[in-house]
Amino acid sequence: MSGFQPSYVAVGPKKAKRARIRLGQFETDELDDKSFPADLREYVKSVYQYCLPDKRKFVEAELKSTIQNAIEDASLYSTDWNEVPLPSGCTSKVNPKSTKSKSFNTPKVKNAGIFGIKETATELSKRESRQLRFQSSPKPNTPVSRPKPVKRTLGQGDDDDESNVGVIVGTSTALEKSYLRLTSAADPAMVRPVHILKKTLNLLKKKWRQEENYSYICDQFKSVRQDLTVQRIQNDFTVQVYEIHARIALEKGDLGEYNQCQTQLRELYKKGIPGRENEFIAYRLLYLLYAQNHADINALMRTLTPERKSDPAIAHALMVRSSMATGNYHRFFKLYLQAPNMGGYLMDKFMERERIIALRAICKAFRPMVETSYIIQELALGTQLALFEVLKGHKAFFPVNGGTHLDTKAAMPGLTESTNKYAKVDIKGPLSI
Amino acid sequence: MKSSIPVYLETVANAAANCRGKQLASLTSLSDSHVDNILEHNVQPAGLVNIARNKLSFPWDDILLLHVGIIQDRDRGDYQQAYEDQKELVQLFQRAINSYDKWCLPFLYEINKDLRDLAIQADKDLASERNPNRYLEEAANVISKTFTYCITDRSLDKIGTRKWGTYQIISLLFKTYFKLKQQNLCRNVLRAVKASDLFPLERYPKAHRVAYRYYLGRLYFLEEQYIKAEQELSLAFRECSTRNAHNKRLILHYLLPTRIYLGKLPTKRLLNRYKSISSLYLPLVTAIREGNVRAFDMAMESGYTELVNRGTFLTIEKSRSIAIRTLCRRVYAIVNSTRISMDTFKQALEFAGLEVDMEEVECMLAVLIFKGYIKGYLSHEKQFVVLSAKDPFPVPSSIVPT
Repeated sequence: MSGFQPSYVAVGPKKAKRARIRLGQFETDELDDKSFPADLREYVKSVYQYCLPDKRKFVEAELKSTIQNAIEDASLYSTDWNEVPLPSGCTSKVNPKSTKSKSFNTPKVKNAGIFGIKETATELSKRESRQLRFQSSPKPNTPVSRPKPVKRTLGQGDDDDESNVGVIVGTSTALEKSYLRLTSAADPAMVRPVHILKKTLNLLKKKWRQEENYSYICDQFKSVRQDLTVQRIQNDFTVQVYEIHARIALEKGDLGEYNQCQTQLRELYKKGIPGRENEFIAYRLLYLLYAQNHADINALMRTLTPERKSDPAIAHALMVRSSMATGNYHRFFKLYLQAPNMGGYLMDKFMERERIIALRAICKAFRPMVETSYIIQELALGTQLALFEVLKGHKAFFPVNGGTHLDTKAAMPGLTESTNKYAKVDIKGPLSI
Repeated sequence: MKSSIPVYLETVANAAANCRGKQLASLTSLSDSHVDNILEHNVQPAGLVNIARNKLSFPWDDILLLHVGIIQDRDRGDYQQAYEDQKELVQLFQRAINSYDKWCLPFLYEINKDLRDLAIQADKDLASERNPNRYLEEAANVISKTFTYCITDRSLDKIGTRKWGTYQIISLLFKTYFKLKQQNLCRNVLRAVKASDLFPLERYPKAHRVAYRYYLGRLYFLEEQYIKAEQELSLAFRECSTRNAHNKRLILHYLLPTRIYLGKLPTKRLLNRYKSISSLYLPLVTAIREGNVRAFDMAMESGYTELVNRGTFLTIEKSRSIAIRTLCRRVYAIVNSTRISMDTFKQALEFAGLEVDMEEVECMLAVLIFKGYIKGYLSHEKQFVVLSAKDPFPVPSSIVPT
C-alpha cells in the first residue's frame, strides 16, 4: 500500500445532511429493529455474516443506503429481502437465503468461495468441455524432441505455393491487348502464354521509345501483368515486366502506378526471384524521403547489410537522406544531378519542397541580399527564369539590381509560409495528451 | 513448501479465500519455483481433477487445472497449446472479474504477462511467413480487454477499485504494441485514459509510473515531440530505482538521444555509470562537446547498427550541427574578431579532418545561422561571416531545433 494516498470517499453536502437526519434512526445496533420485516432482519444478518473484514465500513454504508431507499419509496415490506443480492464487499453477492439461483449452482461448488461468473448455460458447458479435456490428458512426461518445431497449420497452407487447382494456361496469340478488369474467371483464349508475352514486351519497349504514348503503354503493361497473375507466373520474367513498367511510370511521374509495381516487386524479391533489387531499394528510400516517412526510413535502414549499403544506387539514396537530415542543401542538389537510374525522376517529386527549404535558410543567413547566380547554381535551377518562377510562386520575388540579387529579408515571410505548409501533417493527428 | 500437491492446492485455496493477490500471483506464475515441483512429480491435470474440485471453488479449480496443463505443455515444447490454454485461463478470469477488486491485480497482471510470453514463443514455433505475429496480435487483444476491465471498473470503492491496476496493464499492452511495431494502437489506449477519471498518475505505485512514462516518452520520441519526450523520460529515469540497472539503461537509450538533440549534453559521470551506455554515447558526446566533427562522424559510423536498431540514429544525426557550431565557436575564440572569412572556417574544418569545398562550408554556415546556432549573417560576394557582437554563439540548450 506504500506510495499512494487514496482520498476519502466524499459525500455531497445535501446528501450528507439528509443522511445525518434520517440515518439517526439507524445506528448499528438498531439495524435489526423489530419494526423491520423478518426477511430484512435475516438479510442484515447475512450481510454481516458474509462481510469481508476490511470492507465493513463500505458494506454498512451500502446497507444503510439500501434500507433508506426502501423506506423512502415505501418498499420496505414489499421487497423480498431473500432475493436481494448482498452488497459488494461481501464474499459473495449471492443471497444465501435465495431460492431462485439454486438451480444454477453445480453441486460441487462451495459457498465460501467467490463465484463471480454468472453461472450461465454457456459457462457450464465450457466447464464441462474443460473437464473432459483435463480427464483425458494422455501425454507422457517425456518431452517431444523436435529437430524442427511443429508447425501448426492455420486453416489452409500458411505460406508457399498456392494450390495449383484452377491455374489456366493461355492460348491467345494477340501481341497487344487492352486492359479489362476481370469480374469472373479468365477465358484462356484471351490470355497470352509466356512466350507470347515475351514478344509483347519487346514490342512495347520499342513502341515506348518511338511513340512515348504513356496511357497506351500503361494500359498494355497492365494487361500483361494481368495475364501473368492469372496464370500464376512468378519468375524473373515477371520481375522484368514490373521493373520496366515501374521505370516508365517514374519517368512520367506516375507515383501511383510506380507504387503498385514496387509493392509487387518487393513480394517477388522476397521469394528469392532475381532482379534489380538494389536499384529498387534505392527508389524505395527516395520515395520514403519524399513521403517524409521517418518510421519506415528507419525500418528500411535497419535491413541494409553492409553489402547493400555499398551498392552505388543505395549509397546515393543514403547520402540524399543524410544531406536532407542535416539541411546540407549544397550536397543535396549535387546528388540530385548525379542520381543514378530513374532516381532523378523520383527526386523531382520533392524538388520544389527542398528548394523552398533551402531558400529559406539562404535568405535567413545571407543579408542584406544574395547573388541570384549563387542560388541558381546551388539549387540546380539551371536558369534565372526557373528561379524567378519558383520565387514568384511563393511570394518571394524581390529582385534587386535588375535581378542579379535577391532581397533576402523581404523574401523571408513568403518562404516561411510555404515551408510551414510543407511540414508533414500526420492525418491521424499528433498524440494529444 | 509446495512439495505436496494437496498442500499446494490448499495454499491456493487459502490465498483466494483471503484475497492474497501477490501470493496467488506467484502460485500461478510460470516462473515460480512450484513449476519445478510440478514437473518433478509429473503432475498431470487428469490426476488432479477430483482433488482440485474438492479443495477449490470455481473458478480457481479450473484455473489451477489449466495452469498445471500449461506447465506440462510448455515443458514438452508445445508452446502453441500452452498459449491457447493460457488464453482460456485469462478469458475465464475476465468473465469472473466483476467480483474481484484490487486484491486480484497482482494475479491479473501475472497471467496476462505469462500470456504474452507464451504468445511470443508460440509465434517463434509457428514461424509463419505470412503472419509472423499471429499469436502476439491475438494476445494483445486479450490484454486490451484486461485493460478495459480495469479502467471501466464502476466500483465506488476508491480504495479497492480495479482502476489501480490500469497503468500496469497499459505498460504490458504498450510493450506488446511496440514489439508488434503497431505503436499507433497506443493512441486508442491514451485516448481512453484521457477520457477516464483515473486517479492522477502520481498516486500509483512508482514502478507503474516509471514503466508508463518510459513508453509514453518513447511514443513522443517517435512523433518527434522531443520536449515532451524529454519530460517523460527524465521523470522515468529519476524515479527508476537504481537497483534496476537494466531499466535505467533502457530509459537512457532514449533519454540521451533526446537530450543530445536538445543540446543538453550528459555529464561524463552519468555516462560512465553504465558500461554499455558509455561505450556507445561517450565518443559522440565528447565529439560534440569539443566540436570535433570528424570524431562525431566516426562515432556515428561505429554506433550505426545499434542506434538504427533502437531507432535513435536519425535523431542523434541532427546534432551534427551542434558539433559544427562548437568548432566554429572555437575558431571565433582564436580569431577574436566578429568578421571572419569563410576560408578560415574551411581551413578549420579541413584541419579537423573533413574534406569540404568552399560552397559546402558556405552552406554549413548558412544552415547554422538559420537554425539559430550562430547569430550573424553571410556575405557571398565578400565570402565573409559577420558575427553579432552580442552572444554570437548561443548555448545549444537554449535553441529549440526545427
